[in-house]
Amino acid sequence: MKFDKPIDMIVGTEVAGIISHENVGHPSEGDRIMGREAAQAGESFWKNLEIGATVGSEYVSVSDDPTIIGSPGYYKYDDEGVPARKRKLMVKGTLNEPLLNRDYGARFNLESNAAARADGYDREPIIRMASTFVEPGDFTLEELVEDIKEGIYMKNFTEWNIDDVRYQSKYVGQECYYIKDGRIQENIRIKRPVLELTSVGLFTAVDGCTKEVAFKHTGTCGKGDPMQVAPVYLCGPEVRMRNIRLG
Amino acid sequence: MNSEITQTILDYLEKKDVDAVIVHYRHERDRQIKFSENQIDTNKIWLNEAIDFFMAKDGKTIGAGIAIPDSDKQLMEILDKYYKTMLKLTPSPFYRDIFDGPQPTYPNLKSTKVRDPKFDSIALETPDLVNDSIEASLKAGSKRNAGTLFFGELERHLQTSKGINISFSQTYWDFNIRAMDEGTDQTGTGNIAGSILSEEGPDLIRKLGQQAGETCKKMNNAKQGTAGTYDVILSPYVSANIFSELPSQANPIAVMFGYSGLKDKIGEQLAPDFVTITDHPTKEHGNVFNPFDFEGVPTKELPIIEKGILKNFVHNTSTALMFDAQSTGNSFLGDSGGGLRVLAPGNHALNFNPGTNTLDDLVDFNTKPVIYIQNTWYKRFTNQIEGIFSTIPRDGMFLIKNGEWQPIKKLRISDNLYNVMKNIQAVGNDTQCVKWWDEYHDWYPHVRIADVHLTAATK
Repeated sequence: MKFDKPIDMIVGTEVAGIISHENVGHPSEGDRIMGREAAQAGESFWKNLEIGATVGSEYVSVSDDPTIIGSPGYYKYDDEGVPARKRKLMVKGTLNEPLLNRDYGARFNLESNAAARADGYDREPIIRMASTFVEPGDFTLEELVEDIKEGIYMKNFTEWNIDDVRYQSKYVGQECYYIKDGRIQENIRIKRPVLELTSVGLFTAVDGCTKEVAFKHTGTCGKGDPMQVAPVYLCGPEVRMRNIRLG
Repeated sequence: MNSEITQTILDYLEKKDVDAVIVHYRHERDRQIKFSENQIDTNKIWLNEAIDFFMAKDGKTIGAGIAIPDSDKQLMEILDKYYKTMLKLTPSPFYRDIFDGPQPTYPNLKSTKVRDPKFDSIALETPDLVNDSIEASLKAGSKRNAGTLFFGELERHLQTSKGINISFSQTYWDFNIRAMDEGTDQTGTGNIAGSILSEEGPDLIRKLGQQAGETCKKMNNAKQGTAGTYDVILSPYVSANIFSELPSQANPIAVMFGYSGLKDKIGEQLAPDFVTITDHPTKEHGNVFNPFDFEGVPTKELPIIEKGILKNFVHNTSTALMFDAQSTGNSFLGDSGGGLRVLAPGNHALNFNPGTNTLDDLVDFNTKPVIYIQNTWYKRFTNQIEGIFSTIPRDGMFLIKNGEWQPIKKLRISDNLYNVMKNIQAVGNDTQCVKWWDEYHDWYPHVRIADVHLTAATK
């Protein structure tokens, strides 16, 4: 099936999770914003913005929380001894707080929000995510679907990548279904639809999320030189985006 | 110390009647200078002594890497734990045997081009080398710079239950610099790797700073690129990113795991006949020099793609026995996660043989506009077996039209590895050893390719 015109998309919890990690979590890292990772993982499009800048619609918020018990990103204190707390990175589409350790907390004239993690005794603690997720919204999945005339439900993804300032992203669907006249057509699979969007293009297109976050998608995040690997959660509810042109 | 501990482990495990043991002692002295915003952030030393070992009994296997314990008693307790764990496993589908000995000769063991005689004294000069590179980049037009200089020394001793007993040592280094303007759109890069920092490094490190700064300056006012199909010229960094993939899939374990599309393609023409990519364990002035593999088999240069044709898979003793082949000297104790290791074949260092073209020759290959791409990262697959992938350019990117280099930005290479291989038009004469972070490494030249698909964000 070909889609020459823009359509509506619902992405599943796994896709919402990786979007929250790649398009919000990484650019929110304070050391990346200030250039310390520039030669490796890159910088951040947040560099050119202020806290309070609008990068998405009011229907989308993203947080990172190391206090979710049982999550791979759980800790009570970070690796600099700072008590862990939830960080609200993006609130209703506006930038709210970066991830900070003691060093970058001071550079930002703020305090550490306990984001320092090291993956071994012989590695420096650097700013890392823990459990990053799109916050729940007000809809059921059925309610998101029934308001779509034509679209795609991208339940999960196969390929992804994103540029080094975390702005131009690409997600390719794996298990995807056609939505027609408010119903998921279970017998019509869409093969590998490509979402190739900027972070702002993506988040400004969001107009609804489901009520529950599926805290189940684990991953390992790589950062730093030498490479450090941090266990994380990448989670979300289902998220609807309007008027998307496929790549 | 090193041969004592390997002998101690060998003796202890042979008393437990294991069928095969490999013990590898390594002593690493590694240093890293990391810099950002034009200043050195950290200057670190790692001193690491460790043992990698592998044992097999009745087809069951286990491998691990451990720090040197405080005492023989503690060492035996650790080995006992791994031994008991091994006995609870099912026989490994990836194991048949290890190299049977006796110890052969190793033609490259005595190479003089792998140890830096000034390793300790050059360490004192490295902050100045880094600062010189930053200065060169700033003079060339950048405003900010970041990167790393990594260098180190490795002493190794390998012993096996089949009579292998051998030592080797080497040095290695790699350097990368990224030059930036005040914002995030205007950047350039340079990276290089080698074995003898005191000889190879100083001039190159300064030159790379200048190269990165010049590229950064040329990227001023870069325009959004237009998606489409283009001829492209890939720098050695991008060639390394893209052309490492298919040769590394020429691996029976990759076929068994289901992530290689090369299963039945031996003898198939994958690229034009002027393309040859080998696995080269002992190429001098590189970052990798392995005269023997993890089982003690002497290594040799192995053509993987020869004159465009898929010629060989890499093998260790086990996969050679499974597939009625010969070991190619490519045995490694690879990381399988959670601290455990698996004995499997792998690549030492991929080497894309140079062609005959200068960069100007590649630019002037025909009159069509061509896009030059200096760097990419995050190569990812829609389907690894089919070869559908994308990778995202960063740093210098130029649309070359009528001799003019116009800076462009924000495009993505979205294509198929098999198409890209087949469409190679010309190869540069400048194969060099590159290494950047975890993204790519080994020997690659500039390469020109026809009809590559580039995409852009739709919103």
